[in-house]
Amino acid sequence: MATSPLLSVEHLEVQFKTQDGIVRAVNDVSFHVDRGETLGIVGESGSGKSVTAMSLMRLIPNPPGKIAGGRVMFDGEDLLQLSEPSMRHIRGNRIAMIFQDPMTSLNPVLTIGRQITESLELHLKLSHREARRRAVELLQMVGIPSADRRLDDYPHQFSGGMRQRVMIAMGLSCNPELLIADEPTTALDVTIQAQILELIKRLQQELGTAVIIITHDLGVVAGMADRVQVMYAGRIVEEGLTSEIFAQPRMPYTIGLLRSIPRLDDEQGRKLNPIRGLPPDLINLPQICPFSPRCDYFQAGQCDAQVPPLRDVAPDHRAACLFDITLQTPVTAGDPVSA
Amino acid sequence: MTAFLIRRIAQMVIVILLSSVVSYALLNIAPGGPLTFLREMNNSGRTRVTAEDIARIKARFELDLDLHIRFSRWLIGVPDGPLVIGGQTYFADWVVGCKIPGQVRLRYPDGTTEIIEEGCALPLTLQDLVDGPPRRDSRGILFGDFGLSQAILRDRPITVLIESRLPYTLALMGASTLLSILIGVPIGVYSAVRQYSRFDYTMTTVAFLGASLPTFFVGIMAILVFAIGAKGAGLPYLPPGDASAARDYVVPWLGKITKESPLDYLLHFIMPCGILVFTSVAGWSRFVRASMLDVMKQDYVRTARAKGVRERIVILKHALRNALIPFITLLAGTLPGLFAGAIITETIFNWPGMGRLLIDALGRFDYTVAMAVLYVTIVLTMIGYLLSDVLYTLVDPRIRLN
Repeated sequence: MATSPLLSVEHLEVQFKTQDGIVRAVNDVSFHVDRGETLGIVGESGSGKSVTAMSLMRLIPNPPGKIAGGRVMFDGEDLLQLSEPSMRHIRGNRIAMIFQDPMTSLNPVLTIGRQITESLELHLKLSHREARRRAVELLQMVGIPSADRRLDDYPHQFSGGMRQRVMIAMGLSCNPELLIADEPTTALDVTIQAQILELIKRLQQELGTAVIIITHDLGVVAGMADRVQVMYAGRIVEEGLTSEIFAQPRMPYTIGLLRSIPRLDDEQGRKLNPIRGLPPDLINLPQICPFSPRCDYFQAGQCDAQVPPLRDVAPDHRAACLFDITLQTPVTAGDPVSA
Repeated sequence: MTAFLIRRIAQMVIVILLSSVVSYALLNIAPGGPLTFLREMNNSGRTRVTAEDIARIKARFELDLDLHIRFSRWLIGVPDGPLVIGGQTYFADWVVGCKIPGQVRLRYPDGTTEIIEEGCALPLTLQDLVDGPPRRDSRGILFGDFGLSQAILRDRPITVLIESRLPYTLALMGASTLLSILIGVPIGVYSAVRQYSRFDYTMTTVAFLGASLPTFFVGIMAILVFAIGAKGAGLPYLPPGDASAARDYVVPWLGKITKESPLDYLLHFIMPCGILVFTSVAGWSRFVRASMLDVMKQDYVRTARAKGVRERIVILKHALRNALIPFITLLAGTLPGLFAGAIITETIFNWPGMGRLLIDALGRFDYTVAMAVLYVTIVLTMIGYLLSDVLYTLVDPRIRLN
């Protein structure tokens, strides 16, 4: 790594206090994003991907949430140490975020124009008129037809896909260095999904913005991300270049995810292999491999004795598994190492 | 919008008619009435009240008319006599009521007797409405004629009665509602923003006290402490009742208070107004708190924060505007209250307002006054909800009236 990354997260810990106990939503998560790069974060619901993203923005509701440890270095500053006013200056200005559900993410009683110009006036100190002109440009940029007329429309007058375009326009309004897209296409139908992803990709190339794209859809990651990290039970369990992860997954969880995707070019009648069991309860997480209860390659005495650390398994590829498991490793109850 | 208004006003007329029927019927079906004490007098055997006396009193209260005839006369002012077309009289002997009911004397085995009414000895016809002693005709409440008071202000127009009472109620209800909102909304917002904080718990407790303690208890306790107790202890005290004093009085520290001076009115105003605010602030603040809590969880509030908007602006501009939308319905509900007043509070503090007027009217069987108050309340309720629907379109762009 020649230059320091744009964002580097070190040993992030996020906890939520609930009536049943402390939920450890994010455990010792470290990763980095370079300038202009796209990082994909994949994982199932509750694996901590959204909480990680919200922590970067310090938007975890507190209470009950709390960032219990770690550092979030953004362009040389630790975001977790910043004062609230300085943090506000980063939010929406240098790091922007777009959310999962465009139907509920826009304020129903404010016009689209007002919602876009708000951050322009706030961060770029534009006058009302300048901000409106810029808002029209932004709406044109994200492909909203007759943008200047639609500025005074309310969110309910837009379709889901159009609203997500508005959200993207809002996110990119101040030319942020980092855009966090938290499941930006989950609530949209498939044709619109493709359009939105294409839009994010195009704008990223034009503006040079770094993007963190959070999703549970491996297809989205495959098409968008330069690098992927897989999260499970609040930990990163595998990380590497997108091509590498899809071709040579080394963590049984990732392997399970890839095996459970239906493929158009599959032979007829092939059964999908779902991952059995349920994700663990994040309240009483024992010091074992969190995936071990569901793992096909489970080794008694080893997987249930320690938390496997992330280790290099190939150049630019790290996995949190004690064993060298690959797609070719036969699924047996036997010993995978000697097999 | 026009189509909506026309449809809604048509609906309003129907609802007003139906609720008039129900309230008129309930009021008249309810046991008791101006004749009860006459019958009791008669049955006790000490004073003889003749059938003619009863007939006269009945006519005064319109009780000699059948219920549906009475209702129709009250509502639309007909029938007020036989139909006259081109000098010809029609329906002159149509029986519309009963002047003197038939009497049956019941003799029980234990020797006691009782007179009960059975059938009709002397029927009342349409012609009698014109021929008999003058009646309290009105053009009908639907056309804005409230008619004449039957008992409280005998034979004076009800409008006079209302005019004399309404300013007091408007002042009391207007001030207390406004104060409750001005106090309740900020408390609710702050409680929601600092949910489960010490402030929130304190306000929740106070709100529950205010909402659950009955007005008559709080009112009487307030009189005990601030009027009687304070006066006894030689401290400045508040007058326990009425809207103004009948003669000058002296309050420690404040000196001599001239009767019917602004200060006199103010001193009389504080306690009833305070009690109303105390008991209703709870409702407002709890409502706003719940609504705010709901809105603060919404995604668009998170979006606003992610934009780097100041928390104050997030709350006031993004959250509160949305939280106050359901609040409008509540606001509409206060409109009839502004007119009808607070029955219990006004009674406790002897406040000469509309609430006490209704109580007095019911106590003295002044049916026309009671119905006038009820009717206006019904109409104002309907207008309030119509207004709230129109207001919704102003504050919520998603709502269009069509």
